Amino acid sequence: MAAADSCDGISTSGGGWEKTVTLVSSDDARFEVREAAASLSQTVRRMIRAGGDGGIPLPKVDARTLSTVLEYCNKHAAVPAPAPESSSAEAAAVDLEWFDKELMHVDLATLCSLIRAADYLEVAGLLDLTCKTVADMIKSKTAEEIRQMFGIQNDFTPEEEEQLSRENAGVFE
Amino acid sequence: MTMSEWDRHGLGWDLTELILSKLPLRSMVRASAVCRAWRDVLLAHHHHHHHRPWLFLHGHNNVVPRLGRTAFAYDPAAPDSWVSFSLPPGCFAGAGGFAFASPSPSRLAFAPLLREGDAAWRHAPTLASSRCSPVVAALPSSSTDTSSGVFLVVGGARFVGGLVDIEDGRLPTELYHHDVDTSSRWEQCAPLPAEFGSSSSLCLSSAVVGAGRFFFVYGTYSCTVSAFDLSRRAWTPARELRPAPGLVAAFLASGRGGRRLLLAGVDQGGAGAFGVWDVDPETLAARKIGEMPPELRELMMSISQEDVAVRCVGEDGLLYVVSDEQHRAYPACACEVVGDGGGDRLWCRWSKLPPLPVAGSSALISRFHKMVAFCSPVLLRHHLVNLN
Repeated sequence: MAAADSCDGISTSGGGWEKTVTLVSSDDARFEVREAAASLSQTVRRMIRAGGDGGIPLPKVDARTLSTVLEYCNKHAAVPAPAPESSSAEAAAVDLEWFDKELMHVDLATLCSLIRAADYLEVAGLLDLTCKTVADMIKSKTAEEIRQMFGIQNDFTPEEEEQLSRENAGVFE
Repeated sequence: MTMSEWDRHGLGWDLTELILSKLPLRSMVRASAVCRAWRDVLLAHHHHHHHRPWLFLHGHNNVVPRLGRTAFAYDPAAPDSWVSFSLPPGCFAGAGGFAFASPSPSRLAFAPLLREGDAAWRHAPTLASSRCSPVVAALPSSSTDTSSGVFLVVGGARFVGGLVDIEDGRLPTELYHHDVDTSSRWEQCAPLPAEFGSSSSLCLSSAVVGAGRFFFVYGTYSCTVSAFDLSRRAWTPARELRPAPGLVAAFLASGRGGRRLLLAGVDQGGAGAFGVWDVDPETLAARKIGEMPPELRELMMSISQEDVAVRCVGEDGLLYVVSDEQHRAYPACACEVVGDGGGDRLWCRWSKLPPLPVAGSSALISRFHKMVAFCSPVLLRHHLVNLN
């Protein structure tokens, strides 16, 4: 879908022009986005309804993070209404899944800023995807491996540590 | 509470909870040992954690009880593998997060599922009626407080002078508040209606619906159903639930959220098909919502169709079908009922379970005389003990 891929994609299959909105990041970068894509963010949707001009300010999201969020929104808003059990719907779902997976190939710090942005912008699908990605990274690790991954200090006392390892013995190891 | 160490990632309490809530239970327990912040989040989270039912298989050996400590657990949130753990040889059932064992026909012992070691087991007071193979259920004692609950013991065969009396199965329903105080006694209520015939748990399946108020019991072969109303302490009159005339063996479970019932069984009218029905708990109106796909049917029911060699256990919209074929190490599959409401808005999503972790030791499997199957959630609160 050409409309989803081009950065300022505003042409539609009908050959007409789709309504766009301008989003402004915390570092003053301006993004022109199709309204349908921007509306995947409940926060932006409310601000569109509230009106105003000169672009929608998003003071909690930097340009780098916002561009990834919009990549997600553009792709997901381009998906036609689901017609279950049709082969094209299935292919579209597989394509989306692959896209999501690729989008999550980022470092931990980026992932955390994406989670914060998805939460602030209320993009439910992206919030779920990013949290699931972090959960998958934690899933099969030990407590010590997790601490190393996130740079977390172990703040339990030696006695508590001892009790925890007793508690987590056996099937939880 | 301190989020300090973790907080430089800027995720705060709510987002941390959101991430950790997506972990399978065993990973959650491990994560609770990472730092205080995570532990506090998980301790608060267990109240609204959605506990899906796990499948448990427990091998029994009549000659060498020690061998009958082998148990396997399958977590639907970690579908790639089974967990091996140990259960005492006398464990015969599990529900509501607990494993149940009967040290003697008049005693019931219980322990949190997955908690190993004898110290985890507690003993309920002596039952008024000794019995073997009863149905045991765990229900919340009120719909608002899920941390306190009752155990319900239903049916089972009467035990007279060390022998099983198969003539009279009309044993009282007994009820025990296990969380209140240890001195409380079993309360006796009306027995399961006579229409059930055999009331051994081997021929019964059950489901809790209506926010824990109704406990439905269903006869696998008699297709009889009745519900125990916890607030009235009485059984509803027995009715027949046989949505297909060719149904030869069927099993009852609760639907998602405990609002509907699910019936699953072998329909010989449908060439040995294994069907799933959505059932209205009040009217018992049933509507077929799915059928086991052919490739799974081949795996599960390869021997003669005259013989029903599958069992089905389930709750909360998730069914597990287990083949009784020991020589093939009990293949199993899951059927998740998805969609909202009832009838035509529901459908089934089938999946094959991984093989039991007994590769290369089929000798182990062949030592079991009986494989007990049950499903139950594993409760997070049972495994996050407060630090002293």
